[in-house]
Amino acid sequence: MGGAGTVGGRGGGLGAWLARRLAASALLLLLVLTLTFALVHAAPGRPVDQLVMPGPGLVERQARLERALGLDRPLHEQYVAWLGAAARGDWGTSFVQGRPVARVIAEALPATALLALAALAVQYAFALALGLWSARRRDRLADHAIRAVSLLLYSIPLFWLGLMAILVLGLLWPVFPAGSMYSPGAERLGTAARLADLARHLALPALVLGLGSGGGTVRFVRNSLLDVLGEDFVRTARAKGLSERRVVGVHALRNALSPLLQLLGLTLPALLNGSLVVEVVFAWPGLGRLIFQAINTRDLPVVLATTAVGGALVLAGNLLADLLHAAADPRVRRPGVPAGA
Amino acid sequence: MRRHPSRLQRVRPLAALAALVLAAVIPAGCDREAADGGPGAGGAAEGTPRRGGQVVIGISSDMGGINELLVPATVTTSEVVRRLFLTLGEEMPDFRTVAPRLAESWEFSDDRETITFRLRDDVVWSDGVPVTARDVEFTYRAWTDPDLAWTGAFTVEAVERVEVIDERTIAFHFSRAYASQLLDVATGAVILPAHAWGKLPFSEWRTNADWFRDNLVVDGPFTLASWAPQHEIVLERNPRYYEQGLPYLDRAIFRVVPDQTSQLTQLLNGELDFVFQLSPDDAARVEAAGDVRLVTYWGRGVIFVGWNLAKPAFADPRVRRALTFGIDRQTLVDSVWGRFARVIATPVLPGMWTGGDRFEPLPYDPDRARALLAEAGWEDRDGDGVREKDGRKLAFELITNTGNRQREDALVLIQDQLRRIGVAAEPQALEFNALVEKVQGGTFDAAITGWVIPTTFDYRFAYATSEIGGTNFIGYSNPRMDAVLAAMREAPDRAAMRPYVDELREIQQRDQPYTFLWQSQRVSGLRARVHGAEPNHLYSLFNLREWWVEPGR
Repeated sequence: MGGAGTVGGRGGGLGAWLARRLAASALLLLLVLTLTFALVHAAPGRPVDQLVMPGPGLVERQARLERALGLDRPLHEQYVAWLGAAARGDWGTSFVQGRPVARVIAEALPATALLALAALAVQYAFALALGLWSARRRDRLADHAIRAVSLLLYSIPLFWLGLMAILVLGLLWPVFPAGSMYSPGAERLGTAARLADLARHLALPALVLGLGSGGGTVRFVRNSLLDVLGEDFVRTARAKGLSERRVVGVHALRNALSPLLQLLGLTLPALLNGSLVVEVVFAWPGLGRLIFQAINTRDLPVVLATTAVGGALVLAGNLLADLLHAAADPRVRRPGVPAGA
Repeated sequence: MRRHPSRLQRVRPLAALAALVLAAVIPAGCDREAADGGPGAGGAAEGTPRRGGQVVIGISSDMGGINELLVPATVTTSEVVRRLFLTLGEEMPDFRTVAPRLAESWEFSDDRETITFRLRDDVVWSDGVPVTARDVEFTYRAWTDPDLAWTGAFTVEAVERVEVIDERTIAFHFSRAYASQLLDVATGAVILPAHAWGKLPFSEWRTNADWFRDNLVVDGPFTLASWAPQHEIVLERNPRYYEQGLPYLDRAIFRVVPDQTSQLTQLLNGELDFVFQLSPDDAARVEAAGDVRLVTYWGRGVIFVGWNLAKPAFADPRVRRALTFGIDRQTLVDSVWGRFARVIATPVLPGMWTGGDRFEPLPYDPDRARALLAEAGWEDRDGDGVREKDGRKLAFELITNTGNRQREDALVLIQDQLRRIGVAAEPQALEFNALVEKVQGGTFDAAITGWVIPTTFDYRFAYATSEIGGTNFIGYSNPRMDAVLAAMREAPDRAAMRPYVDELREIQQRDQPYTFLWQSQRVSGLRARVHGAEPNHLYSLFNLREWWVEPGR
């Protein structure tokens, strides 16, 4: 989606801008869904391959089930029917589970939301701390070390990082559970103990997903700070005799924050992608796992609905990025003033 | 029964071979002697069983649902459902016995077209309602209801009707007698609660899977305490279970851990007590860990090369025999499985049938392979190392599915072995669904894939002309084989079946429509504190009700 620079430029208030953005988002979502529908049907393998018990008369029994599921109808008919139902809020029934897709997704969503939020906190805390330190120690040993580490984190595949974390922190030096969301029997614990148990289980996947996504963010924070540190107002602040901590930590950081907020919205798709891998490695019962399994089993209603939810989240993230950017940077909100200059 | 109590594969969530995997069923012969399934079996050697405690079992995918008529029969679904509900009889792992369960006895009519079951009088549903012949009748109606459309309904198609004689007696009337009729009705699917589930019309079953969970009553050793989708299934001891003192465990907790490495880690660090299938490469590591035990047992999974008989080169049995002679199967097994697999000759597995000594696998004999190929007219006239005939090279694509290391390794080893007899096999590993599409569509040359061999001695899936395009994806058609298959199915007992089983094996040995590669073991991991576990080829958790754990934890 377009950048925030268009907010004020075209005139009209924030409301009109938002309406335009929402309309564009809806259109894009429709496009994504259409493409997904075409792709899952073009992919090799049919849902009935895995639904029908093998045995005598397999071909005929598969054909019968395809008729029952409406999979024998022309593709465009299936698409229109599906889209119509989805627009009415009916996401259909999972082929594999025989349960409403909406409920299946609703069950998986909280786990993914929790993981993503925790990972986001890890990612930004890590990036801000290291980015700040790195910028202040520019071209010194710490800066080089941090840049090397962040590049490494950026390049390591998430599943490998996950397996290493399990090996080191789950097995060799078992401080955290190696997977799952709760300990067996946790439902019988008190609220506080349950939350503590959840936190212990959340630690590794959130660390892996957060650090794995944080490598790039560290460098982003550093560079964006360095840009700001070169500007006049920073020199002014220093000239006023403010402490270096205050100059960098408050004046510079505040101004470097604006692009970072925009990045926040754009981080969402990356986190969703990452959670697919992390959830599988850490047996975390979320949306990523659901998508993974639905694709493998050709559970079309679930694949389509999870794609819709994922797509909507990504678009919402983009929108959020622009809104946050507008909120953080007054130039974006005020009509007539070129933004991002 | 034609469920899939065991699966070949480890990696795929919904299990290995889906369309190609056949599942288990009942032994022929219908011997009726009861096997010892009493409390404590298997525990004696390891000390005195203790009541209490829990085990945590790693599963690679969640269960599909608790109504097995509505969901694909995955390992998890079958294992869990069979701990919640009883069947009339229980198939034993010896390939010949059915033990009494819900039915305390049964008898065949003289023409073998009727089986009359006598039910126990001490089995109740978990809400206290007795389990009666009405439940069995209700279950039969569910099996055959057209709206419900159970995909396993074909297994009971020979049942004409059921007759409730009294509360504890029910008769199944068949249109014809056949070898696996007892297995089909007594062990094929669990008996469902009529008083609870009869409230929902069959036509609404398919779209209301949650309803069965909300209205769940069970009669098996365990009840379902909780089920967090994609995460955890908790079973608890059913206090109303009919076998006194069983189960020993308070709880059996299934945790979904999709990644195999994570499963191994959690087994080693004590988060899991049981893991169904470990990679053979990890076996040594598990054995070296002090408090974990490796449990190995022969599964019914077989791996083979299927030759597409519609391709001119493979239509000639001499070529197929040559290819079998040219593949060093023992080396394959040694290098990809180590001690956890063996070379087999036919789909009649060792242990299923005795007296099969003369059906040894064809030897590895590259000279004989070369001679046979030459005899069939395939010679390397242009000296490029690949034989040709009528201007066509003996070159083909050999495919298998990704995500299974043993198969992918075999692909490359076979390519190398066949090159030595002048045959060019080009290996290609495809995503599972893509493989199924190619294989079922007949657009392949040769494929390494697998089956789980049913215990019914019904081999129509592999060889019958009627199954071409389905499970007989290679397109094998042989009138004599069709007759043999029909005779096997109709044989009333093992003695009558014997000559046909032998003939089936003879034809396989001679024709080699499939080149069988190996049968593998299931390699499970079990924490040493767990005792009494006797996993087998039917169910890894076969006797979960007799598992017990040492105190502590």
